[in-house]
Amino acid sequence: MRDLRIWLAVAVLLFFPLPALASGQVPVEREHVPGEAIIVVETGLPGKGLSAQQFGGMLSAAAADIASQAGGTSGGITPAIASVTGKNLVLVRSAEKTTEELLAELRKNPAVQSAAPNYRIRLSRTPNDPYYTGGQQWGMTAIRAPSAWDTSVGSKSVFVVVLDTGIKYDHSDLAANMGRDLENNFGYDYSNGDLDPMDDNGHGTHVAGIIGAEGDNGTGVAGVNWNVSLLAVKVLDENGSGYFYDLVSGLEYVTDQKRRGLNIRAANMSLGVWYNRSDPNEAAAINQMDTACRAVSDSGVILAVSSGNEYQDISNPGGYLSNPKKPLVDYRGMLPYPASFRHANMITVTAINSSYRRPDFANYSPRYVHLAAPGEGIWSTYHNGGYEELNGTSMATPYVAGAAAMLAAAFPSESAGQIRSRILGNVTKTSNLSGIVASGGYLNLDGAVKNEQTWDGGDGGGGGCSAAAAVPASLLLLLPLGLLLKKR
Amino acid sequence: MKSTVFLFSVLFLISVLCFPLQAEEKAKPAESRVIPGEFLVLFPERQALLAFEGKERAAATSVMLDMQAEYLKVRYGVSVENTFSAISETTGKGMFFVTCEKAKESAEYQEKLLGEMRADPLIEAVSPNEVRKMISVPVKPE
Repeated sequence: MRDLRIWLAVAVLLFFPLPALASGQVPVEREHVPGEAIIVVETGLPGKGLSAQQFGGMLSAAAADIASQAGGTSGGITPAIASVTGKNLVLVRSAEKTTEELLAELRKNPAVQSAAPNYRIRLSRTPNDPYYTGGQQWGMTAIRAPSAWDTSVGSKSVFVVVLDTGIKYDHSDLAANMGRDLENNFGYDYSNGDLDPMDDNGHGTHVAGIIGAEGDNGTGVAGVNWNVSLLAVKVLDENGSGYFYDLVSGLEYVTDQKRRGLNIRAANMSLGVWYNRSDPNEAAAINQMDTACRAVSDSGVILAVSSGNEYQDISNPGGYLSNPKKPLVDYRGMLPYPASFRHANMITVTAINSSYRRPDFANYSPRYVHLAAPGEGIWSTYHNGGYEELNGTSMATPYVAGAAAMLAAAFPSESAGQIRSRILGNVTKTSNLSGIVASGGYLNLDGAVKNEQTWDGGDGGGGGCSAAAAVPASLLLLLPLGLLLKKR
Repeated sequence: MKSTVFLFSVLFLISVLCFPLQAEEKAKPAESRVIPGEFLVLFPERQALLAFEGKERAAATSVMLDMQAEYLKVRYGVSVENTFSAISETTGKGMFFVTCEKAKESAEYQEKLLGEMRADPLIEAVSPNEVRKMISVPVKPE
């Protein structure tokens, strides 16, 4: 067992850190101790009759000799590793030489198999919030938040607006991350027409906690952002219902605050309505909501919206019985809004469960829905001052809004479009979501930080004819021709 | 007799499943209720406005919104309760929330006013204000 541990340690030391760190995707991981190097020296296995003390003494002497030839001193050896592998890892220090000079000298010595800087290796930052350490916040692991938190845990200078049922702004896990708008308020309550956007339903507080419950405070849950400035815009009442006018007013609030200089980088709308374009009232409402969402998007705010929980393929909504919860509703001819809008800085989100599969209730579409995020069994803050486990695309959406805010904190000079590309271009692809969402994957926050891929989704136009749709169309055109040729 | 009832039941089920009802007859996905006498009005995009930037655009938007609000008051006798100036400034489309006392009292007048404003070539869209349930929280599947 001890041997196994040693071999694992050797494997990690010899193979993992050096190439991983040498590739250097994230600058913070490349830090090293100045004037220090780790070398590997071939020693051979200890012969029979040689005591551990004698073997250790032999290794120390060889290490000191090599270090001194390079102008340094030996700072430590690894006799246990050497006794199993025949390779001694030696820390060499020099007060006079830089790391690069020391490495150059050491590499000249034929006894030195390899030499590398003494890199600082940090474990991913882990918040001490009990729901996280207890394993209930599976969503944070799924989106690879822990690695991303090494780069940023958010910033109070970044504002996120939650358009919902309000936020319990005095919740012990949210109070520190509540922002103040340009009028020094927590937001606005359009439902009641006042300045107190206190949550009376729970939905908005849950959403807010996913975006930005205070992290590493030993309390409750950790948000995607440990630090952020949340603003509550209450557009829905205690039943989750809202006036169309209030919804548009909420979008006006976001656009207005942004235009006047508040650093709003993301807004979350975990809400939606199904409209039928053939109904003149609903067609007009679609047009007006579209204009309001476009204003938010065009002003440089990433607007994350939920795909909805009606069991529908939005590209091809079903008829009666297609929603087991509402069997008498015929969705044909309708679309959900704002999920179906496709403006430059909008992102539509569906849900995955802890098996990385889309739950049946979560609406989807490779045309209208961009990506998935955790949306089942999600623990977050609640309006009763405690915590609650909820399901829905409503819960998936704030992971994406939170990711946008965190990326804006890490890369403040990037535009909303660049941040959106980071999110959509670096999803974790899975066959479960292929053909289900446009990106074919779910949120990968660490991938978005590293940004190794680019998004070429080519959406944002609303109408358009995609290549995917053009192929079957052209096949249909060719079909009669093929039959004709076959006849001849 | 039993077979006739069965046949009618099957035919009814087929007709319900295969032939969607007209929009106004369909069950709505969520409860909704129109608020009489309250409307949102959207004017078409003014490209000229979008050519301006910064303070110039704000000033031009203000002038445009004043003129459009006046038009709504004079032409339709409605009260302009709110102007969405930030949305209007960003998109170039004037947007207003208006009320009409007469339409609050008469459903017939509500429809007449809606029809007239919709037929107006200077107006892009008019919708009655309505309240709808907009969120749902599904139960975790077993």
